[in-house]
Amino acid sequence: MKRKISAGLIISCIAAIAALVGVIAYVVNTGTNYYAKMGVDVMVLVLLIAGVVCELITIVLGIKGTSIVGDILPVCGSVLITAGALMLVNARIANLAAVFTFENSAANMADTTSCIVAIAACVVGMLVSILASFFDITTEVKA
Amino acid sequence: MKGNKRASQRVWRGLASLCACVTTVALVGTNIVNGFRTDIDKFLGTSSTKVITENADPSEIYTYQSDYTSTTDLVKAIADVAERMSEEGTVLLKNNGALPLSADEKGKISLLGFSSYNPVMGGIMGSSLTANHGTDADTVNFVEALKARGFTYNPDLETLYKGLESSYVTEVASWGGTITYNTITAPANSDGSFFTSKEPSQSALNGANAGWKDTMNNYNVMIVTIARAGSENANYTPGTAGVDPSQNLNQTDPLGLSDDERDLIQAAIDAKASNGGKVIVLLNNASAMEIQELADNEGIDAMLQIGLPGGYGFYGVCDILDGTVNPSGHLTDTYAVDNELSPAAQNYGFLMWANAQPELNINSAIVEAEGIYTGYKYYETRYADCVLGQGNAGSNVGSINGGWTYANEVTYPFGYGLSYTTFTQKLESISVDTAAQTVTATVTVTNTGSVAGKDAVQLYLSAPYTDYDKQNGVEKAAISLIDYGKTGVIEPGASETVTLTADLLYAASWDSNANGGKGGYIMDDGTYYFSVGDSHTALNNVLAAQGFSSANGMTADGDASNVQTWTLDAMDTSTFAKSDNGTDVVNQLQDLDLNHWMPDTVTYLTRADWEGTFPKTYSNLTATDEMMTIMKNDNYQMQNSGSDVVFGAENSMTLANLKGVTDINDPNWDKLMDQITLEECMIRTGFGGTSTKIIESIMSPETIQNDGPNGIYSYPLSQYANTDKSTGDPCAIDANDPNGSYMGGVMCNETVVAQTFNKDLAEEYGKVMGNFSLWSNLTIWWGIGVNLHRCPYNARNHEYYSEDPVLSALQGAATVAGAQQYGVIAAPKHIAFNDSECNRTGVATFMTEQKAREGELRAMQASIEDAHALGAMSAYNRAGVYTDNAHPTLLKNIVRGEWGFQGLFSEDFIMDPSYVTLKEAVLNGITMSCNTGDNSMGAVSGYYGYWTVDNVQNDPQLTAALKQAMKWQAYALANSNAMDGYSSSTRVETVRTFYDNALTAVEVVFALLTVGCIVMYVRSRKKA
Repeated sequence: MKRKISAGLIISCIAAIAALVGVIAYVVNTGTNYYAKMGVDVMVLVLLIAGVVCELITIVLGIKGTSIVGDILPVCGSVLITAGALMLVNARIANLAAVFTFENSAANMADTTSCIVAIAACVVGMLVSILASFFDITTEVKA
Repeated sequence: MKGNKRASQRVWRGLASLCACVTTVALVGTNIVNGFRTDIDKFLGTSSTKVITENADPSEIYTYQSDYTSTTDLVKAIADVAERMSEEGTVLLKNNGALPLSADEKGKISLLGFSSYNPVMGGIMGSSLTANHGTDADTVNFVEALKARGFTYNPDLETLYKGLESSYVTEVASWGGTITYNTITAPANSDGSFFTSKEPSQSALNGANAGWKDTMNNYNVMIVTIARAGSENANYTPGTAGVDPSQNLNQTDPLGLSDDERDLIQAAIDAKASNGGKVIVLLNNASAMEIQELADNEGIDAMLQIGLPGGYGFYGVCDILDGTVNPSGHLTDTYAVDNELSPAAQNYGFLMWANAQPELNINSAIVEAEGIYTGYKYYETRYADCVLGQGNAGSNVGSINGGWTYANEVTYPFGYGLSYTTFTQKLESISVDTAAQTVTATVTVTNTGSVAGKDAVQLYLSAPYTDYDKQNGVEKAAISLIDYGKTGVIEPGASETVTLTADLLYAASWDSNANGGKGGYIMDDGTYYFSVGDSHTALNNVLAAQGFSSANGMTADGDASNVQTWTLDAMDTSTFAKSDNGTDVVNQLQDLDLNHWMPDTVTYLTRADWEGTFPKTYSNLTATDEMMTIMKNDNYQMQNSGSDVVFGAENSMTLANLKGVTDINDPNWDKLMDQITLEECMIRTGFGGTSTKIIESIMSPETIQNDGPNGIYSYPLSQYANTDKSTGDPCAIDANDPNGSYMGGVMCNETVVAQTFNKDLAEEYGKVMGNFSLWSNLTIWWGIGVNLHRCPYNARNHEYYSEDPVLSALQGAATVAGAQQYGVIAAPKHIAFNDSECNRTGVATFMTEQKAREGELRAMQASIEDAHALGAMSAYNRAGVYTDNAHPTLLKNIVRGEWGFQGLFSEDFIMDPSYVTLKEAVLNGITMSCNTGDNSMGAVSGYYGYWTVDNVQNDPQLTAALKQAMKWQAYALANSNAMDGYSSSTRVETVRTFYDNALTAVEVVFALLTVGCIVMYVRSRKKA
């Protein structure tokens, strides 16, 4: 039996990339003038990176074939990315409210771009990772 | 077959993932909800707690009583005060007899200018109008008020402007789209932002309706509205740099006119030539505009400054237009010909540090090198020195055309305002009592015209400027307002005697060298001159009494007979050596002088040499290492020496036991506060935003915080109102009360409140807001804006009263006093020196202690020291190099110490945990930051990394300060209407809201589904 790459690979890759973009954008955001003082929420990073790792391992295992670990990991990945996305929103929601109102300035809005990107990417990663759970990375085909 | 089973596994795996994620959303969401529960409840109108008081007599537990028996009476009373505020606060600037309008003319109105149809009624963001509809007192704009008052206006012009609306809307970019305003707006708060004129051009008007001018033949009372907006977090950049460069409208300043506005006025004047009508200009602004050309334009028959009238103020404007009411408002700011030339404007805006570190909020510095000479204290004092021939006052510096003269520089002086009648004011007597620290004046006001009306009496002082002052850097304004009052309606030919009792402190000057270098208030020896009128008239009277006349360059001969004098034989350094509570009043703010840190950097303006000391612009300064270290905001190192401060005692008391106990030294306060835990203190100081939360150890209630200077407007009346009439609450409302949606942000802006020069009316405003508080259960009111109008360019001036500290102080104190009669915690803000919005988070504000003491601090002092405000708010900016909250003496030694402030003290909306400077702030008497979060140490420690029990519990100063902060907060609440309905038996029960139930349901259902999906996955896998 040979294995053929299926849509699950692409979807899982998108999920991992989106979550990774979220992580990178968050790290960038924590370095901006406005958000630097808020520090880095380690839990956000841990959850999102763990979610990305789960997605990547899922892909690697999925290429080799199906396994129970390969079935558990996408579920874990989507849960971790979901938790990370929500924690990110939690960490930034008060700041976003301030920047859109009392602390609205061009500089602060510019600093907020990476925050918005991070949240958006994580939400995309969350939704796509759930979707990816419905697909295998590869499918068996008769030789 | 195998493929089908694998597909089944994928489906169950996917569903398990979906359900697990939904469960995760609910679980994490619950955690987030707990962190923002209060805000969510506010947004949704839900409540997560329920206060239960059983077996209590309602007449005993509801301490404060409303003046009204229904919300209908309440909202109508608010509307009435707001209307009268605009009646008395609208200023008639010029009038050739065109006003008031006749009954016939009321039917012939042509409204010109898009701001006639879309006026600026409140601020943007701060002091925004809360339009009320479907209530018993709906708010109205200009055209609605005109209709209600029986005016008829040109329908063709209304159609014309409606059709052009897309050309004058402003779109402000925001995430997720744009916010569209159909009123004029203020420029953004960033360097290089500019004002864009939106007035439709003549060609646009002609293009929309070629015959629009002809339509005015039958509507020949042409009212032109020119507007400038007020906005929090916004800024007008001075001069041409502040005007849209893409427009070519000959506009030299954002607060000056554009050609489109000039052309519109001229079109009305031209039309008048053929239709025989009249031209009336309404200035719809809060920041003083440059309007010399309008004052000079004889084609304009009358001009009114209406401020930002709020929800009912246009009724008042209409009443003035038709003469139902005689105008009696007076300007609270000098209207200069060119605002950009003032000494204060030389140091305004985004003046960055050369070694700025924006990531640490080390951004810019403002050196207020003008010293005490802001507003009329500059213009009038320099004028006096021109007359006196001293201090190089007539030099070119700061002048428009070279050779400074008052007539060239000032359009309308501070205190100016006309009436439909004429009055004379005679200062009959002055009595100075240094022991009582008062100045008592009696003034006879006589109506010499033919129309009944009110008049404002303004009492001014000219204190001696001595050689000692010159040698010691003590500055003296040539004229200063020290008190004022408003007459009743005086009939033609009748008189009224007004007695004013001013605080003698307002005659004193801060001398940093007094008392052997300790500093203090002094009164120089010499002759003190008192007079009445507007600032310029009073000064002319004083100059006349000193022997000067128009021959000496005066703008007019003064009336020497209308001056009273008082002579002090020897300098007085003792009368004000101690504050009312016995605290030594000495130098506290020497570090606000930049020269303290960077010697010989700043030259402050002195009237001894106007030319040589006129401020230069201090920009691109390099802060020293010492200054930079302080500006990094970690200036208190926590100690570990052990603390014996008692927390968590079991004394079986609740805050209700101390309800109404005004003596903070009552030992029961300490007994009660011993019950509080350190964790509660730390959480509540760190997360004090949007409401004070329940503190269970002392049964302190949740108390809702509200903006703003135009009324309590954060929430509708019904949101926290008691709808359970069985409680016996006299202010309980029906659940379907038609006024339940009513919001209190309906008052005209504060500048108009000040323009009334009527303390009684300011107090009435406080009273109706107090009543609103009782019905709505909205207790904390950040509503007393007492920063000064240092520059007209501060777009937030609409939230503050005036350029003058005494007028600001007394109007603010009157409103506080009125509101507190009903248990409102009415709070002055922003203490202190938040006189610009430019880089407000971080800007380092420098000045002399004399300016600080006689300027903004004087404006704030009366609300606390005299009116005994129970709340206050500090400021975003830095005082010198310290954040306001971390300044080692400003809050602790002056506000808490000298003034004896004993209430709750909130930071402004500072989100940056390092800029909150929490530990320093608590040590200085701040009781709460404005942040919110979960009611847990984990949350607060997560936000402020150093704010842990381990770090704090062994610090004797910090633990004592934390407990004291909570004591002040509890004291304020115990003496407010927040305790209405509370008795010692009151308990609080947690209530599950619909969203709590929904989240729990989702958690349970989807957790079960997740398990189910996993089981199905396992089964399908086994089958495979």
